[in-house]
Amino acid sequence: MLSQQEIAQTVTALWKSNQYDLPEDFKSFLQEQHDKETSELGKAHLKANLDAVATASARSMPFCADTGLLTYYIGLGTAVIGEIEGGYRALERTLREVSAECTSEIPLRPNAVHPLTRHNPNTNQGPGCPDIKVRVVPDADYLEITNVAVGGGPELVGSKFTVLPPTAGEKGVRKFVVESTINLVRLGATCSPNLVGVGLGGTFETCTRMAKEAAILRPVGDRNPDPELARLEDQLMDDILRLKLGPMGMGGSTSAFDVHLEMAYCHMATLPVAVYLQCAAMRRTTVRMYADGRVESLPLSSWMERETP
Amino acid sequence: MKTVHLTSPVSEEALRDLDAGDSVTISGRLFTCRSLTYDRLIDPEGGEGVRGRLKELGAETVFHSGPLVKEGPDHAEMIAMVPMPSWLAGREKIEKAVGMLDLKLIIGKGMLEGLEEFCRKSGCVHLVCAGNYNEYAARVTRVIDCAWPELGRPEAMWIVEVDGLGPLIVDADTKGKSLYQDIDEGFKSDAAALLEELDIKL
Repeated sequence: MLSQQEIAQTVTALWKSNQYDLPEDFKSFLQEQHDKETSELGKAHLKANLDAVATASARSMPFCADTGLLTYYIGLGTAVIGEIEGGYRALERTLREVSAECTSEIPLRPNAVHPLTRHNPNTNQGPGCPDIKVRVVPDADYLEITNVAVGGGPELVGSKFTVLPPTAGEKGVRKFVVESTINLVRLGATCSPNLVGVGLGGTFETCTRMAKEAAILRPVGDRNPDPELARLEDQLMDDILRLKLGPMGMGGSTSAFDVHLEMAYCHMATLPVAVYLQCAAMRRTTVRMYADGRVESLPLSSWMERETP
Repeated sequence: MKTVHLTSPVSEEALRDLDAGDSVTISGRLFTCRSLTYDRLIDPEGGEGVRGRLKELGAETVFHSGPLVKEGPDHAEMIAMVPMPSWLAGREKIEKAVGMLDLKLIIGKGMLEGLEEFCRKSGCVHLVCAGNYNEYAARVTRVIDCAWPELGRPEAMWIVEVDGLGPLIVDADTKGKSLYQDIDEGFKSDAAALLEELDIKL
C-alpha cells in the first residue's frame, strides 16, 4: 500500500532537491557552455549561473527567487492505482497540501495569484494551482511523480504561438522561431540563454504543450528520433546561434542552449507553431514509488517517451 | 569597463563617473518594487506615508524584484532577491517614483527603451543583473520593513539594508549612453544576413 504520508514526505524531499540543485545532465552541460562562451560578459553570466547552483546546494536555498508555478507530471501505473491509500482523489489532495506546506517551509515564493484581482493567498494554491497533469501508464506497477517549477520568465515573455498558412513550410517555421527568439531575448527581455522548445503541428493546446514539454522534460542535447525533425532542430539551432544575442541578450556565442522540437499531425488548413524558452533554472526532478515501499530516483521523467505508431 | 563600489549616500560626482558597462557593487538601503507596488508608491495621498519613511531611511535605490522572503515570528529573512525586467514595472511609473523620491539607482533586468534619456536628464543610473541568482540575497544584512503586505509577499515592498550587493552592470549611465543600445547595434549588423534570408523585419 502507498500511504499518503509516504507520498507527502517523498514529494516534499523532491521539491527541496528540485529547488536546491539542477539536474546532473543540465549542470555538466552548463559548465561546457560556460567554457565555450567567447564574450567576457556572456561568460560572466554563465559563471553566475554555475555559482548560483553551487550556492543553492551548499546553503540549501532556492536557485532562483522565482521558485515557479508548482507543476506535477504524474505517471499513474495501472497496477498501482488500487494500491494508493484513499485512491486518486486522496493523491490529488496530498499534492495540493504538500505544495502549500513547502511554500511556507522551504520556503517557495508564493507565485499563484488571481488573474484579475491579483489576490495572493500566499500558498501557491488556487484553481489550477498546483498544476497536476496525469497520464495512465499501462501495466506499470509504480507511481511516477515529476516535479517541475515553471518560472515566470518562460511563461511571461518566453512563449509564443501562431498558426501559419498551411503551405508556409520549413522556411515559415524558421522565420517564426527566429523572430520569436529575437523578440524574447534581444535587449535582455528574458533570462537567456534558453532551451528552446518548439511545438510543430497538433491542435491549439497540443502545440503549446509540446513546445513546453520539449523544453522542460527532454534531456538537453537530445535529438528527435525522426531524422527529418532532428535535422530541423539542428537548422533552428544554427539559425539562433547566428544571431549572437548571447547570455542575457548582451552578446556572445551562447544564444541558446539547444533546440528541441516535437511534432504532431495538424488540421489540413493549418500549420501551428509554438515556441517556449526555458531559462537556466531547469527544475525537474522525478521519483517512482512502488507499492512495496521502494522509492527510486530517476534522472529523467518518462513523460516524453513516445508511443510507437 | 571598471569596477566600482558605491556607498549610500551616493554623490553626484560618483554617479557621473559611471559608464555603461561598468561593474558595480552597492552598500546602503534599498527597497523592492514591482508594478502594483509602484501604483501604491506614486499615489499622491496613499503613498505619502511610505515615501516619507523611505526618505527618512535614506533609501535612494529601487530594486525591481519580487523577492523570496521567509517570515518568522519576529523577523523576516531574505532568501532570494533577483531583479525582474524593468520594462515590466513600466517607464512612466519608474520616472515618477524617481522624481518623487530623488532616487539615484534603479536596479532591474534588460533594457527599457527611453530610460537612457531619462537617466541623462535626471542624473540617475540603470543597473542590470549579472545573472547571479542567490548571491544578492546573501548581501542583505537586515530586513528593515515591509509595506503593503496585503499585495502578497513577493509584490509587497521590502525595505532592506545591503552590504556589497553585486555585481551589477551599468546599463544606462548619466551621459545618455546605454549598454544595451550599443549591443543592439552590433546585433543588427551581425544578424543582417539571416534576417534578410528569412525576411524578418525588426
